[in-house]
Amino acid sequence: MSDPLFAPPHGEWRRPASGYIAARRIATFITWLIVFGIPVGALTAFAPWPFAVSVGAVGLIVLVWRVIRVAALCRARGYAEMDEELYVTKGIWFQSLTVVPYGRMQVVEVERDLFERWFGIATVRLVTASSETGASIPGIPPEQAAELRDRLTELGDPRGSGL
Amino acid sequence: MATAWVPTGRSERPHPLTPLVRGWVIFAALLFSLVQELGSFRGDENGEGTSVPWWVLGAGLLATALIGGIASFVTWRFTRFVIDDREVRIETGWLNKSSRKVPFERVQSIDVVQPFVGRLFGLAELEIQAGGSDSQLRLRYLSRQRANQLRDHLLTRAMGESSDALTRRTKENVLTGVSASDDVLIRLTPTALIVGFLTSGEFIWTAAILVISLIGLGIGAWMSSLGVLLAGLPLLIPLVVAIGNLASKYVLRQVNYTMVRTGHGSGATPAMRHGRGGVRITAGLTSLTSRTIPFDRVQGLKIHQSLLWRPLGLFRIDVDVIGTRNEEADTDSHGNVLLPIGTAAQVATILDVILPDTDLTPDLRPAPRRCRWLRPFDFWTLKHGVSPDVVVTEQGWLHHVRLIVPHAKTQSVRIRRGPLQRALGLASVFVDNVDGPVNVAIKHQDPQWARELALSQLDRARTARNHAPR
Repeated sequence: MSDPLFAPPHGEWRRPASGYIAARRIATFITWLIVFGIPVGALTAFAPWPFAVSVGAVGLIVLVWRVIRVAALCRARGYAEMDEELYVTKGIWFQSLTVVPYGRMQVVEVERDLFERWFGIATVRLVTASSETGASIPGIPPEQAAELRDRLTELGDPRGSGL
Repeated sequence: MATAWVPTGRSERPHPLTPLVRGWVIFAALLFSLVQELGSFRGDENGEGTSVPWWVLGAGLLATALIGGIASFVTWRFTRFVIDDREVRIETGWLNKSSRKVPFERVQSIDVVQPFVGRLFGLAELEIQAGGSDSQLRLRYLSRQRANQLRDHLLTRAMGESSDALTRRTKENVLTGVSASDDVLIRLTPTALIVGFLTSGEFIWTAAILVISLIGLGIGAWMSSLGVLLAGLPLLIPLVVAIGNLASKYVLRQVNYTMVRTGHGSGATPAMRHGRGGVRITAGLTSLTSRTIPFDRVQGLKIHQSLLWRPLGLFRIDVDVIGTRNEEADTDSHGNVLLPIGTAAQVATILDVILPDTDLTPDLRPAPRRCRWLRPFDFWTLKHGVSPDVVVTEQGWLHHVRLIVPHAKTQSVRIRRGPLQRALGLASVFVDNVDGPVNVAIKHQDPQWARELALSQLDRARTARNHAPR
């Protein structure tokens, strides 16, 4: 996964902690279980059995595939702190590289959902004046996440991001 | 001659006639919806027996308006605002008190809105956009003169407008809100608005769908029964409503459109004038909206023309400005429209005023030909260019769009690539600015160029930001 198009200008990506993969696996499993479980349940109740079985089979394949892919998707994520900007990358099929100048960050948040709490990790989310930016750094241990947030907030433009 | 206003730091109330106007607005809205209801009743053949006597409706209406009026009076009685040297503060509430304030440096744009009733009483609403979804401050209602005074004061503080430009302003025309001393850039005639509207892509497409559906229904009715026509007609109502909304947005609300330049002459050299002052757009038939946008606050421009506008040489300009209201929510707003319709010369005038001494015509580079597999219908129109000051993209032939974003307004830069792009050896670069109609996407570029473009854009944005006047 070392495509020069999506590489940081220098240095290496910092990848999510291993707990992130486990947390994502559980979340992915539950999501797809609900997405296919509800229609399969409805079909068993109201339609002939071949419908429920075929939808269930498709659901099972998708679920297994997604859960297998979790590890690769998580490892494809990364961030790098440069002098003036923060670089964030993600995706395998749909790859992206987002670069946010420190001066443009309006809010830096640390978030933890239920699974992230179980596995002792947190997500740092960056908010600029553009909703397109959508950069977040998941899979960081909470203390590190708080440090990163404080560092990024400090680097933020004191002039209110120059709007 | 109006003199520049000096802040006293004392709190004051909105104009005493406010409850009356608010009460009337509520009454008019009720009356309107009632008439609509009655209209639909009449269409119902056997609704006769269930209809309510008219005097019950009338009494209910009056009572509601009265309650609305009393509520408005209480609101008015407990609303106070203070404008001092640093901020605007508004305090409201009787049982639940709330206080909101906006520091001057956060002011993005200021609207003076006069609804129809407000115009009769000479009252106006002052709206201060301060960025963020809920940071909008509304002072309603003030006397027209007071609203203009406060606006000028706020702009002077927020943008460093020269106050001598304000003191020499003469009395404004009540119809157009333009005073004799204003530097008028553009005026639009009703003819221009109507011609522009009738030839606009939005109108033609909606009207075409309407006509085609009507013909379809007619054929259906002729082939089978009249029932087809009766069942189908109500389905077309949304289309008619859409045309009405378009006409209201681009014609009725733009009548008497006048764009003036404010706060000029506040610097000896072009560099000092850069980013100072702004434009004020006044327009409207029944309600009059006057919106001032400081040049600094323009985050991006979209200059576009539909197919029929090309032979006529007509364009429309939309802008990204932070805190622009959602136009669906408020019918008096101009939304993101800067110029509803204009000639190439008028567009050039606006660009020259908003982005002075700026290179807006970089060499445009087309996307590689292999992107035709992904964009078969317009691949030859995808172009982009970078000047020392701005990013420019162009695309489309049915609807030609040119986007301009100053480097200093770059919020973030992204590179993206999907599986098909990967197979073709392409990648897209996005230069993100604030939310609005201007979204720069430089799609389907050679990966090496995409990378170079993205990284160099960061440098340009940094340089522009550091040199921005403050």
